Amino acid sequence: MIEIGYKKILFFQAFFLFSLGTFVYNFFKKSFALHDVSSKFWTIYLLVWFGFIVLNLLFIKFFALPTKGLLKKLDSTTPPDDLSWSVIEESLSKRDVHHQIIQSEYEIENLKYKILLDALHDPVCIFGKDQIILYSNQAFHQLFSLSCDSTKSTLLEVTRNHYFQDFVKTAIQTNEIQKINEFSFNPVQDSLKNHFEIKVFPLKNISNYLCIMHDVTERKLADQMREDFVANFSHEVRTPLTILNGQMQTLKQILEKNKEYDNEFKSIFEKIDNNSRRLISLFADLLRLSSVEKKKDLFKEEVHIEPIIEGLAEELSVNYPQKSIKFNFQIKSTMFYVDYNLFEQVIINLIDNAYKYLGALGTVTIKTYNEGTFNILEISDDGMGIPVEQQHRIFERFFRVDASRSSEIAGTGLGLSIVKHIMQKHDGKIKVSSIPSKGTTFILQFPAK
Amino acid sequence: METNIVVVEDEQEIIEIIQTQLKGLGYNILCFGDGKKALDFIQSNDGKDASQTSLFILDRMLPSVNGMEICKFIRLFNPTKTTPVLMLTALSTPEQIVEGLDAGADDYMTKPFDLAILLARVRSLLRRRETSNRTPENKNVLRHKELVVDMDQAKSWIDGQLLELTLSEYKILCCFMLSPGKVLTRNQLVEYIQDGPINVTDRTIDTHIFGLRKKLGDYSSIIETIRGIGYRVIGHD
Repeated sequence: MIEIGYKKILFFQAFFLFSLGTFVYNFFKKSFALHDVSSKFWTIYLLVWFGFIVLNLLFIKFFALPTKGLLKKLDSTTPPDDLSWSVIEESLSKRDVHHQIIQSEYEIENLKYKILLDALHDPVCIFGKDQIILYSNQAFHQLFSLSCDSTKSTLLEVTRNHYFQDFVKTAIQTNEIQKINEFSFNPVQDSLKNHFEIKVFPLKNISNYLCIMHDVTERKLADQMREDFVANFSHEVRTPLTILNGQMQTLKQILEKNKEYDNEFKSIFEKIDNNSRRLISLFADLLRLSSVEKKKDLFKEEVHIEPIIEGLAEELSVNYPQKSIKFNFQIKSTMFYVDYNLFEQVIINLIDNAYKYLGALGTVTIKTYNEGTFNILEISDDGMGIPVEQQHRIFERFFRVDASRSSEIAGTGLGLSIVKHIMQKHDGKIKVSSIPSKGTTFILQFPAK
Repeated sequence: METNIVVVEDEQEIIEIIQTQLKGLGYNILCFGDGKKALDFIQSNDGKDASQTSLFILDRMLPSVNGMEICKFIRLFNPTKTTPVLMLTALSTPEQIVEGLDAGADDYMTKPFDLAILLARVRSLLRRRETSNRTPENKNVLRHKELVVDMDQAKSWIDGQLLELTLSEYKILCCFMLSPGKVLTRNQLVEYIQDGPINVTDRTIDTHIFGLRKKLGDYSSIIETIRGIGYRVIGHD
């Protein structure tokens, strides 16, 4: 029927346009006595007019009306005009079958996704803006001990965790991907006390949100074991080191009374002493790194940084009496939102690093300022700098710039690694820019309160 | 008068090292390898033996009764409550050290330690005990070389020059002068100067110390910062 209607429209439109063209031709010819105009002009006029009609019809046929595909589909499903009821019924059932096929295709697709998501070990759920769960997989049901019909519950009802609720709220408000690294639900909700890396993705085309909880318990346990091992090892080694060190010092005291001490024993004891100190500081740094890694919650507060920076610069100068280093302070931002003890450790490590790699004379410039939502701290020196090809590795554990010089400049190779970990704990960033033989600048970004 | 030092340590080799060094300085040393025996000694004879002790050197991790418990007991037990305690510990994180100091230890040293530093700390703690045992002519006038604090007048001087200190700075200075050589944690300083409705925090203490150091000028080096723990005024001879 629609096909018939469509042909009638085309016919009437063509007829109307033809009549309009003829009328305009006669009207102008008679009203304005345009007899002088050559017949060639009118011929061209009519040809153009007909051409316009043809184009118009083609446009209607191919673009203005529903697409060709749809028309074809309608052709196949629309019964002709003079149909009996049986034909109409047949056509309707044909359409029903068509719908059923589409529906079953959707169901198969749905089932595929469901099987796929249920096969995942990671709990997954989809929820709406109102935080009502629209879909959740089996791992999600198992995690929260839910029945299969858990949809239509809110996330808060299921998880009973306000921290998670706030996290989800942020994802909804910002409409951007949100992530928590290590999250543990209440022991009541999650009796296994698993740890998850949780990501929420906004599904922008359907205004829903996909939440994937990746189980990182094993990784966390492995990290925990490594951290515990380092901490226990560093701790256990202290007692034998104390004994070795103590016995060495006692022996030294006895031998110091000997006249031959300076010639025979002094250099030997100096070497033992230096290496003993090196070992002690290595274990101290390992323990420090391990304690930073293990630290779960930072005690962040507004800290007035000027006295810390100035005080530490002065205190550390005592360790380098042979060097004359000038400090230049440009403190524009005075309050940082940091964990006091960890911040102190960052400043100690960076100033100490500057001292180590500066010559007998040098300048250290410390700047602080605000940049957007960050407090920036810059520590620059005019020392030997870092070769470009090694700059990306300086935050690795035990990495020392130019290994051949490692023995000349004391250090464990853990200082900058500790700084990197402290910055990560603060959700901050650290960057380095350095020009060999001109100097190095460390730029630290701390999120403002 | 004899100086008796009690060492509680479970590692025999470490006991030997400490014993050799302290005996060399003429001190009497009494050693215990486990915490219970040390506690029995402190309580024996109604504490009369323990009251003769000039210094306790305690390890923290000990069999049966740990060093923290012994330290707490020493502080609560009348015959020993003023006896200095030096804690020797392999537990070296700031939190663990603060815990030890808050339990009543006067000073701490982490293993491995330098023998020269150990002996210096021992001497400093013994000197403090001697000074507090003496009955000075005027107990309220405290001196550290050219630094003088008169607690009756609530005034302080360096080289005869009057120091203009705020109330909190003055209180902190008094606290240091009353306990030379003793490590004072930030918590202990907060408790000491906390007065009235103003809430004193750890950071307030740091700010006061920063101000105090500036006013002390060349003398500021007498206040030693113990990272992550607190402060100590270096004992004087």
